[in-house]
Amino acid sequence: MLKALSVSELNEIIKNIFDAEELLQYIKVYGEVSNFSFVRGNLYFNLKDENALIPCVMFGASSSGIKEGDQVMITGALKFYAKSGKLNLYVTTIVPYGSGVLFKNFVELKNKLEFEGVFDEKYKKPIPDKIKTIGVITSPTGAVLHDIVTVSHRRNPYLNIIVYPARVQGEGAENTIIKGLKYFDKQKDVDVIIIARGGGSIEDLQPFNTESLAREIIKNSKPVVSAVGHETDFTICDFASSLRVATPSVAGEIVSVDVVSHIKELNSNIKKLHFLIFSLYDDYYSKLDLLTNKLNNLIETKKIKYEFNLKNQISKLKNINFINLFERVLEINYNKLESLNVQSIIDRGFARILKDNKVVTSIKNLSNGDKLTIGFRDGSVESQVSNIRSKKQ
Amino acid sequence: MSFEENGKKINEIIKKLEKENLGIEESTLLYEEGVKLAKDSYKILNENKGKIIILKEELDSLKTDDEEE
Repeated sequence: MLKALSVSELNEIIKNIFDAEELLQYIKVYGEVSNFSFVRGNLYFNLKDENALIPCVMFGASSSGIKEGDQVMITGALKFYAKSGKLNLYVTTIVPYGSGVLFKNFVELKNKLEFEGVFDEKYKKPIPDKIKTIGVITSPTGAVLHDIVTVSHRRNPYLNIIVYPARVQGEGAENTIIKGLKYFDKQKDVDVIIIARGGGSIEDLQPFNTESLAREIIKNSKPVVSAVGHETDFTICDFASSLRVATPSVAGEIVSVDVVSHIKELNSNIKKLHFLIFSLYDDYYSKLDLLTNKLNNLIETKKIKYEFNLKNQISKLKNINFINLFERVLEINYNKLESLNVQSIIDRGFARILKDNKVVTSIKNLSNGDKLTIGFRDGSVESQVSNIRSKKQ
Repeated sequence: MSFEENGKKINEIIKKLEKENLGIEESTLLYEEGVKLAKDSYKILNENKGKIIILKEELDSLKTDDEEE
């Protein structure tokens, strides 16, 4: 049968359970101060986070500048007070915790390393201009890697990207980054290493504010580009690296420059191609012009000869005064000759070249500077001889 | 007939016309053939040059805008 307990017996049992639990005798807790009061030298407040709360008391505390809403780290012991049936955290030390402290630590570490020369120029390595392979240390999932890859490949599709997946947040993340640095240090063909991480609070960026990471960066044989946090965030990693860039996309741009030279080369080759093909055509046209001119001149001289003979025959016949038929036959021939008339030829689009009113049939009696008249069907052009090229037989 | 063959034929016609003994009909026929061949050749040249120009324009439109001509 269940033995009934008095209240004090019950509370006594609960108290013993708590006192027996070693773990609860010295604990370290962080949270937000709320419901804070300072009475007769004693500090009373609740320590809370989004979904839990624990009442705290500190005896003989100086006010120590704690105020409502502060983020604090406390050490103390958990006690069950039988008399009031209340559970309290008896606080021994209380210190501010959260961004305030972290920033203070960041500045201290930065000054220390700066004083020691860790950030000196001699550790900075130049970013090579011909980059074939890059090593990227970042979290394998997420936008950061995606930005670096898309930006760099859009500008230089030939770039090789090796990714070393690392943790970029939380306890000990810097060790995974250091392993990545050591790994790429040994890769012969890696030209540049990028350490990248998206934006985050100062707590999130803690791994990049560690001394061990800074020392590994300056020890590395390869230039390190730091693309960590928002544009406005600065970390120890930035100061130790050879180059700090504002965003992962900028990092992608910096390492992908050589494609421009490919485009320039391509364009100049295209220009050469066009020059060659078009000058080839100029040659063809001038050769063909030469042939047709020769043809025209030849037929011109023949026409003149025939015309002369014909006129002689006609005058003779007229003197003899034969029958008209014979005259008509001559006339037909004459008409045929008409078709050879230079004018009709010109009407079909050819040109006739004259020098001092005589038809020019060869380049022999031409010299540079001679004035030429070129007759077309709809007019003529005065021109001057230059660059005479004889036709090779 | 290819452009080169036309060129050879025209040359042959010219050589024939240069000899004196040809009658008027024959000279005229030869001349007409020469003119026809020349016209064909010009046509071939113009067509091919047209193609070249079109290809050049297509290539220029593809060229990236790195224009430091």
